[in-house]
Amino acid sequence: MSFEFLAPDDVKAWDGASPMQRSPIEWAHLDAGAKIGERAGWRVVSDYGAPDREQAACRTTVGIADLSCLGKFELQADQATVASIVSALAGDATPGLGMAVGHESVWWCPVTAERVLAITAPERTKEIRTALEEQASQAGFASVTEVTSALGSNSVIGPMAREAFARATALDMRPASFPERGFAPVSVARTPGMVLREEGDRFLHLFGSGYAQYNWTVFVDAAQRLGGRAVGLDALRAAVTEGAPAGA
Amino acid sequence: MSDRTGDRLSPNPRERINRGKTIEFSFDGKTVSAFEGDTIGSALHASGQRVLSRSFKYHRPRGLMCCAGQCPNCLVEVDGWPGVRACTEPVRPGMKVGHMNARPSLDFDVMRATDIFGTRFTPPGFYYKTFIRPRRLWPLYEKVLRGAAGLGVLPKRQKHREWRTEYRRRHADVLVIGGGVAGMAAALRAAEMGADVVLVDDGPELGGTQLAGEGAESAGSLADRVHASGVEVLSPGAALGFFDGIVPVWCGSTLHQIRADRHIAATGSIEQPLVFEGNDLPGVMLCAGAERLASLYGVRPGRRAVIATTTDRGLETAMALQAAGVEIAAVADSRREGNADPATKERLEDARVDLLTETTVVGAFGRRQVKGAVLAALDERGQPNPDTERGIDCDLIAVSGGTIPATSLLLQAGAKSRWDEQRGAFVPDSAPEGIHAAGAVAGHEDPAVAEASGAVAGAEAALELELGDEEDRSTLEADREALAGGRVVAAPQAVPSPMPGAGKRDKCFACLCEDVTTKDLTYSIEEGYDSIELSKRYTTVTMGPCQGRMCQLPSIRQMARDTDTPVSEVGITAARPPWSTVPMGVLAGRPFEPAKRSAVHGRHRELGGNVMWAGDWRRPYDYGDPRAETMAVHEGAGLIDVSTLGKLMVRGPDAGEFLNRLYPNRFDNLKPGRVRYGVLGDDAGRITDDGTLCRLDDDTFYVTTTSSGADAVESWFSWWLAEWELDVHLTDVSQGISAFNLAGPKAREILSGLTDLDCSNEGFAYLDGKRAHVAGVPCLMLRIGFVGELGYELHCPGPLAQELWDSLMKAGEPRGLRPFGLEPQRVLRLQKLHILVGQDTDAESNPFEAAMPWIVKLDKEEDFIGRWALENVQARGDESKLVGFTMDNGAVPQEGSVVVDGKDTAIGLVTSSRFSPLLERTIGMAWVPIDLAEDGTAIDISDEGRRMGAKVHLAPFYDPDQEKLRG
Repeated sequence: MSFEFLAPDDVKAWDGASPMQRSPIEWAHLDAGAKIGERAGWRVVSDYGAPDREQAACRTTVGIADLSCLGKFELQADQATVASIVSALAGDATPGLGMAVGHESVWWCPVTAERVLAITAPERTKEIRTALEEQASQAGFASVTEVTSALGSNSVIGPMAREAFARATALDMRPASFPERGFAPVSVARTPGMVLREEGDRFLHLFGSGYAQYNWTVFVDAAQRLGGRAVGLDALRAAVTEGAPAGA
Repeated sequence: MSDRTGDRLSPNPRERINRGKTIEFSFDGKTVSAFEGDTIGSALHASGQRVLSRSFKYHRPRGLMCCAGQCPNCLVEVDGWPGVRACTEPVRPGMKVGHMNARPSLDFDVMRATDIFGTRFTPPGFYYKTFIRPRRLWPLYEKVLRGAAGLGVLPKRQKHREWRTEYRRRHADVLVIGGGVAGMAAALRAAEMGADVVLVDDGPELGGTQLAGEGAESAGSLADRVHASGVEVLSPGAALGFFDGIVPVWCGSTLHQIRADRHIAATGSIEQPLVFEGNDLPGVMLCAGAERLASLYGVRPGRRAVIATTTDRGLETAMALQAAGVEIAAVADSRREGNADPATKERLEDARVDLLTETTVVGAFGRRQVKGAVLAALDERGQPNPDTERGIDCDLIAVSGGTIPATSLLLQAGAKSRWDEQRGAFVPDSAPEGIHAAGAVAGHEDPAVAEASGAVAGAEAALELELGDEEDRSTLEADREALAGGRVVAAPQAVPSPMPGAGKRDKCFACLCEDVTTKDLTYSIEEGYDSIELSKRYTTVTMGPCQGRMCQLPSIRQMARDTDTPVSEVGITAARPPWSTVPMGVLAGRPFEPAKRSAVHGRHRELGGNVMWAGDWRRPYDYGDPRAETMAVHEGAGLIDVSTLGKLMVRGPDAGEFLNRLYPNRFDNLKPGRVRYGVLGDDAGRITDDGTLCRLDDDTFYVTTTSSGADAVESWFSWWLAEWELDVHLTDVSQGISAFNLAGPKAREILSGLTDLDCSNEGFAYLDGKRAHVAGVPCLMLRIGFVGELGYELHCPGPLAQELWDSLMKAGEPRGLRPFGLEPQRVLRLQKLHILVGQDTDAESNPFEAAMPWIVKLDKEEDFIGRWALENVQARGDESKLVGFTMDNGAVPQEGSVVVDGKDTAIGLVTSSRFSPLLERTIGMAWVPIDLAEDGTAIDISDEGRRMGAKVHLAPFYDPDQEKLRG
C-alpha cells in the first residue's frame, strides 16, 4: 500500500477549503508573470501573459512547461511480476528496456527490469494508484510508492527541443537513436534525470523535485537562447496531439 | 588613417567584399574605412597599415603573413579582447581594434630594446639563469618579468572578462573536419548515402584554398550541394582536438562536443615559410597569403614583389600577383633548372617574369617593413653562397617552403606518421579504425583528385555504418580505382638552409609565435637539449598560438642539421590539443551550479531568509536575527524547514532484518508507530551518517539521513541490498517530502489547533510516529527533538508544503512562533550535545568514542556492518572522546582550533563552538584524549596561537534530564 503522506492529493478540507497542490517553483512562475489556473487539485500555470507567443514557441522553436502535476508511481517487483502488472494495466503491452509504453493517458517507463515508473495525467492519479495497489497486493512481493512529489517534470516541446537538451545532456536524442516512446535515465545539466520522448519533438524531463528551480532556469535559459520561452499549460495543450498519453 | 584606394585592386569575381557598403572602425584610435566582407587585416593593409602588433619576446613589428588564421603575426585586440587574428576577423561597424604587446605605442615600443640591445642576455631559459642572484631581488625580477611577458592584456574588471558561452552536444554518424573540396565531397557522399553528417571548417565559407584560386566556382557549386544535402555545416568552426572520439568544435560562442561514429580528416595542408634573416618583417608573406589578400579582398599585398619558393606554388603566385597588378621583381626558385612544371614555367616566361633557379632569399631588409630582399645562389649542397648575394628593392617578399599535411588531429586520433623524403614532410601513415583521411592531408593536393579522395572517404565511412547499397559499393570501387591513377605526390622540392652564419645582420626566426631563432635552437642543442621534444620544452618552439603550423618542420630540419641526424629520426613533436587557439571561457562553457531548493523556498525568500549553501541545498541560514530566533524556540516556538533531510522508504518483509544488518542497534523489534535514532557505520565501525527511523507498518520503515548524506546512504543501502538479496524495496523520496520541525514549549498548542490527532503527551509520546492530517495536509509526524525542546517533525508531500507552512505560521503567530534558520539550529543542538556527522565526526570516529556507546548493540544475534571493528574498539578501550566544553573567558574559538598540552602540542580538536544566548556563555564540542574526558577537567584551546582555558562538560548543557523534550 501507499501512504497518504506521500500522496499530495490525499487532502482534507480545513478551515473551509481543501489545500491546493503547487509546483515547488510556483513562486518563480509568479515572478515571471504566470497566470495561475486549477487542474485536478493543482495550481498550474495557464500562461505567462503571452499565450499566442507561447503557442508559437511550441510550434516554431521550443517551449518549456512545468508539469509537476503529473501523477507518478514507482512499481518495484521481480521482472516477471512487473511485466505482469504493467501488462494488466497497459492493454497487454509491456515496456522493453529503453522504451516506454503509452496507454490511456499513462506512460509506463522502465527504469530497470525490476522497476517501472508510471506517469499519469493528474486527473487519473488516484485511479492509477488504486489500480496499481490492487495489482501489487495480488502479487507475491511488489511495492508501489507514490513519487508524484519526489519527481519534478517539465515538458520540452518544439522543433528546437532537442537543441535545448543538447545544451544540457550528452544523450543522443536523434530519432534513430531515441525514437518516440524512448525513455532514458540520464544526467541532465549535471543532475540525475530521466527523459521520455512522448511524441515527435515533445519530451518529458523528470528530475528530483529539489532541482526543479535549477532545471527550470537551465532550460528556460537555453530555450530563450534558441528563440523559445516558458509556456503555460494552455499553449502546451494546443500543441499536443489529441489523445497522446500523459503530458498535457 | 583612411582607405588608400591605391592599394585596392580592380574588382574580381572571387572577391568577398561588397564595395558598395563601407564600414568604419578604429585602429589605435584612428578611423579606418573598410568594405563589408573585409577582415580587419585586409582593411588595415588596404589603408596602408603594415604593422599590426609587436612580437612576443623581442617586440619586433609584425604584420600579415598567412591571411588564413594559421600564423601568429597579426594578433590584435578587438573591443578589449586580446589575441584576435586580424587576418580572419571580419570588420564590424564601430569595432575598436588595437595593437598588442607594444608600449607606449605601436610605433615606439620601449621593449624593442630587448631586440636591439638585449639579445645576448636573453637566450632560451634566460629567466632561469639571469635572474637568480641576488635572491632578495627575485620579487622585483618577477614583477618585471610578469609585466613583460604574455601577449595582450585581459580586461581589468571581472564583469568585462565574462561572456556567455555554451556547450552543445551533437551526435553524428560522420564528422568531416575541413571544408575544402575533399571535405565537402566526403560530407556530400556520406550524406547522400543516408548518414547524419556534420562538416566543420575554420573558414567563413566552404571551399578552402580553392576560394582564392581558379577553382572557386566549382568549389562554390560543391558547397551549394553540401548545404542542400542536409549536412550540418559549422563554419567558421575550429576543431580543437580529438578526445577519445569526442571532437570539440569552437564556433562563435558555442563549444560543440561532437560524438561521431566515423571521422574524416580533410584538414588540408599548411604552406611553410622560409627561414632567413628578417623573415618576420611585415611585408614577408606566404605565397597563399598574398594571393588570398589580392583575390578575396581586392587588396594589393605589395607594389613590387620578390617571390622565393621551393615548389611550383611560388611560380603560380608570381603569375597571379602579376595579373593582379603587382610588379614581380624576381622569382627565386631553390630547385635546379628543369625541376619546375614545364607548363607553369612557360607561362612564367610568357609573362616576362625573371625566374632565378637554384636561388633563394637569404635576407629581408627594412626597419618597420620590407624595403628589399637579399637573394643568393645555392651551391651544390643546396646551401646559399654568400659571394652571390644581391639586393633587390621590393615591398613584398612572398615565400613558399612547400606544404605539409595538417596531421595534428589525425595524430591525436591515434594515426601514425612517417617522414616522406619526396614530399619533404611527415605524412600520415596509418589511421585507427573509423578514422579516414581525405584530400591534401592524405597526399591528394590536386583539387580534382582531392575531391575524389573525399568521395571515397565519405563512402567508406557510410558503408562502415551499414548505410548505402550495392550501387554505392560499386561507385566506391570505381572511385578508388580513379583515385589510384590520380596525381598524388607533390613535385620534389629542396628547402634551403639559412645561410651559414645567418643571424649576424638580423634574426632568423624558426618560431614566430615565441620569437625562437635558429640561434636559439642551436644554443639549446649545445646545452644538451638535443632531441626535438626536449628542445621544444626548453625553447618553447611550437608551443605558441600557431601550434607548430609554421615552425615545427623548420625546427625539425634545423635539429637534423645541427645534430647530423636524418629528419626521419628526429621525428615530430607529440600532437596535442588544442589544435587552434581558443579562449578559456569557451572551454569552461556555461556554468552549471546544480542546487536543490525546498518546496517552500519562495516563502523563505519572502520572510527575508539569508539563503546560503548547505551541502547541495540552498537554505536559510537565518532570517536576520539568529539570537532572537534561538530564544523564540526556548520561549515560544520556532519553525525550521528541514526538507533537506534524506528520506528513504524501505519496504518489504525483510526490511527489519535489512536495517538490523546495516545499523549497530536493533530495528526489527521497533514497533510500528515508533521512532528510533540510528547511527550508520562502515565496515571499520566508523560513523558515516545518522538519522531517525520510523516503522510505519510491519514491512515499512521511513528512514531519514543527514542532508548531505542522502545520496551516499541511498547508494550504501542499494549496494548492500544487491549483495544480500533480501526481499526489500528501496525508494528515495528525499526531494519529494518536505519536512518542518515545529519546536518549543508552545509547539503542542500550535499543532493541536491544526489537527484532530490527540497531541497530548500520552496520546503522542516522545519517539512516536503518527500519520494524520495537519491543516488538511497528510503528514507523517515524528515526535523527536534535535533542538532540545518539545518538538514535532512534520513530513508532508512537497506540493502541499507551502499550505502546511503557512497554516503553521498563521496558527503560531499569536504564540510567538517564528521561523528559524540553520544558525540558531546549530546553537540549539549544541546545547544538547547532539552531534553533526561530518562536523563533529571525521573518517576515524566511532560511536564509542563519539560518546554514543549505548547505540552499539553487540549483543545482537545478527551480524551487522562494522561489528567486528566495534568489538575490537570496545576491547581496546577508548583513546579519545568527543566531549562538551565551556570557555573560561567567553571567547568563541574557531571550529578547527586545537586542544593543546603544556608544550603547545595539538592533542585534540574543537569541532563546534557557539555562544549560547540562553546560557550566556560559550559552549562547544571537542575531541580530547581519554584521560581529559572527565567532567570539569581543565583543557587549553589554541586558536591561531591564542591560548585559552576551557572546562570539559560531559552532560548536555540544556535540559540534561530530557524533561522538556519528553514533557
